[in-house]
Amino acid sequence: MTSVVELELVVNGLVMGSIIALGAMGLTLLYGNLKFAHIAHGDFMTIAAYLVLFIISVPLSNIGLKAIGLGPFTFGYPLLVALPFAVLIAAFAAVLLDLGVYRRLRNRGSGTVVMAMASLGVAIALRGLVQIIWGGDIQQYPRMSKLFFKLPMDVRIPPDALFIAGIALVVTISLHLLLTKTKIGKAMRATADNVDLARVTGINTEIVILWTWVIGAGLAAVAGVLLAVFQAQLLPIMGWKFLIPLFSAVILGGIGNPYGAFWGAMIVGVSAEVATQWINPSYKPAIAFAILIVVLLLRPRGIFGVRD
Amino acid sequence: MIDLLGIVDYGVGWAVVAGIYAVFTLGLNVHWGFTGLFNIGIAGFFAIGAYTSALLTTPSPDTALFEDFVFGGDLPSRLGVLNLGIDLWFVIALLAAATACGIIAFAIGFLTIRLKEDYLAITTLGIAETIRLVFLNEGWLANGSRGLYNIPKYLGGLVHPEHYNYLYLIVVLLVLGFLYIAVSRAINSPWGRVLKAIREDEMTAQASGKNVALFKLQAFVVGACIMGVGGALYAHNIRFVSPITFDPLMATFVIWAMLMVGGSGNNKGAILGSFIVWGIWAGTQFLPGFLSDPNIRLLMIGVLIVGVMLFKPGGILGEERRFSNRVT
Amino acid sequence: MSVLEINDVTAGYGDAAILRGVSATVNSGELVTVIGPNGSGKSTLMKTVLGLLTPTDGQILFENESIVGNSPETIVRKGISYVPQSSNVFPSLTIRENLEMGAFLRQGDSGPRISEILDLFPDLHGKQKETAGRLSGGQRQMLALARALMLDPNLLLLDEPTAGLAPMMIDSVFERVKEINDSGIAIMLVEQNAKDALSISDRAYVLAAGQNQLEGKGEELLHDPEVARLYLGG
Repeated sequence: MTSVVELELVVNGLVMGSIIALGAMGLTLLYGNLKFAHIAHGDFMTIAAYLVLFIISVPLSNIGLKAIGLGPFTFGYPLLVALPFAVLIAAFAAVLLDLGVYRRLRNRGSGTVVMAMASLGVAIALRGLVQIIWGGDIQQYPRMSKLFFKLPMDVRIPPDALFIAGIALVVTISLHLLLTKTKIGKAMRATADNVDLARVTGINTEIVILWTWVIGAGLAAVAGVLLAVFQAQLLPIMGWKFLIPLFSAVILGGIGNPYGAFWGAMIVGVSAEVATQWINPSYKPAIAFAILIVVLLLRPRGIFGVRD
Repeated sequence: MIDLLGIVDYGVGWAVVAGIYAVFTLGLNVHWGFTGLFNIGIAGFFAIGAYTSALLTTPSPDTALFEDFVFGGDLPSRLGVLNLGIDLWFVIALLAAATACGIIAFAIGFLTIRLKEDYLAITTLGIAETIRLVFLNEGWLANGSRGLYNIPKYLGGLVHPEHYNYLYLIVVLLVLGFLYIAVSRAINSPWGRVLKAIREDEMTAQASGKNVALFKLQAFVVGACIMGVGGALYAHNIRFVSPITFDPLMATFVIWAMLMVGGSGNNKGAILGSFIVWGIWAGTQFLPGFLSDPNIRLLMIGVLIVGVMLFKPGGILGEERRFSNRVT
Repeated sequence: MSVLEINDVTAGYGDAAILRGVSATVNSGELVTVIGPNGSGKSTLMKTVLGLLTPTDGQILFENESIVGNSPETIVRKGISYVPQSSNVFPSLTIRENLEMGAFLRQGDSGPRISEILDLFPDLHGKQKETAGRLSGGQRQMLALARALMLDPNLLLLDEPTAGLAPMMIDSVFERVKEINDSGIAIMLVEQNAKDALSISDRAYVLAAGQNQLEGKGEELLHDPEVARLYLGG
């Protein structure tokens, strides 16, 4: 007999999983196409979350858009207005970074670890930027408390969680359509499969890489904002801390495979929540890490890895 | 005259920290500079080294106040070695710190060193966070978030507390000098040459019959032991450790910046980089206006790493060239 | 008229030259085979032609125009398609998607061209929605060939298309290669199965240690006693 508490943990885990999924799907595409671990991925989430905070609290607030508590949710529609801007800025920044940093290293023939190292530098700089502009203290989006929803079987869930799951679903489906229906999307999957073959087939891998940045950073931006909504707080270190679940999901799903990353994220999200039944909840990141280690040992190519 | 003394005192305190960082940078050089192991969880080894030494030497806090803390080490009084004339406990604690890091590194490395190189980065990141969580949550082990304080000074009875930094600087430089010689010798030995060969071209090293995984594991353990020594030196300098001490910035990123700036693959560069970056770090405090904002340093460290990779991949000194350049 | 002209090319990885002054020509409509022992530089020659390696010396002309220093993408755009020896399909893409990627440089709808190509490879016809990773080795080679034809190239570079295949499959790959060549596409073929390759070739080159050893008509080399002893297994 499953208790209500356990069900609530599972539901929470699925919501957390969908946030992880948004980050991990972009991260795995980047990993697959650029062949290095993009360590600044978490800090892209952070900076996007803060950008939304800025857009809500300065320009939108100045023109009188200060609403909070849209429908059943804690936040107001200004957040929805700000989100696309944050996504665009993050995508633009990622493209600039590729042109200024990663492409130069790529053209020099730098190895995967050197590229990852550079992204570590970017991660540190991004976090520095966040702390310089917004300080190190906990911040919040303007919000008002709302009653929890009651789902069937007495499961209680914050309404924001439904919003998060809904956005994650829409974005995931859009990504799926992009990857399977558009030429650039298919080229992205092809490049993730085999960069060398993609090049000799005539695929312009540099263009593919730029699109991968746009999508990867855009997805990270959405994930960052949703994480800030779900946790009802923003912290400069929030994205860095998220790296462990992100990479766990990516490796679980097989590097370069966004579908695998999606399911990997759900597994990581749910197991970390459910494990809090027995383990001190502050060990959640360690649980994601433990899953990662087990997968690395048993199936280094991931659970959903493709045979080459 | 008094001002001058004050400046010298400040300088000595600064040099102690720079020297301790140089120990970490040497350890990282064994990992990254010589073997190509991408460790972004230095903070984990930093913490293990610092806590091990602190636990072994620090008297338990008042149990009436901290009832969940039961581990309390205080090796010196238990062994009765306080009066040995020389503070032997310090050497033992230092060795224990190195050993503890070595054991942890062996366990991690044994499990993951065979995997793709950048997996190690993610693994070390996870280990560092897990270690931090353990020290934070397990109050019985190391007093949780309140941390350990009153960590004893090495040879603290010998000199007046005001001048203690001078003595400790000598201790740090002796340890650093010993490690520098040891690492340099090891790297120029046949063992070190195999490490470099692995870093340059793992396939070829494998093909020529070297047990690549074993060599990598050895390098990982050795580097981690050195980091453990650094952690212990740090704990006895600051005399307080808590989980907050080991945030990624101060305990991982700064060390990376030091190695990159000085020149990875070069032990002199590692030490030079530590003093330069720590100099910039300390110097920015005296900058006017918003430039003295500590967060500027975070940005600076990041930009420094990226800048070095782009424009001076070898760092200031570059690698002592016996093999081809690692970045290009 | 020559489609491809390789003049005295030196190329390799880093400081190590693998090709040391290799020359070869492919005339329009010809099927030219390059044979030689392992490490003789056959595959390196193809990679150099395609721009994956830049020669340190020598000339490469495609349709009388130098292509040295061009990116692989540019070279493919000019009309050379290449099938690498292994990992030559995108395993997580469907067969149809693999073919679409073959036509990446084409503007507009690739549907009609895919139908044309699939008519040449009836085995693949019914499996368009299957992922390429599930195909057998022989089917993969067929798909790789099919993909390379999507851009309607003037020259096809094939790197050991029969490596690791069962004898039955080898025959049908060679058959297909011959058919493609008969349709007017010039082919440069690198092969270990020298006997079969020579028997369908117009001309052939023998490479050893990165240098030209012999060249001649396919049939001639097939009956050359020295070639037979060294490369055809007696």
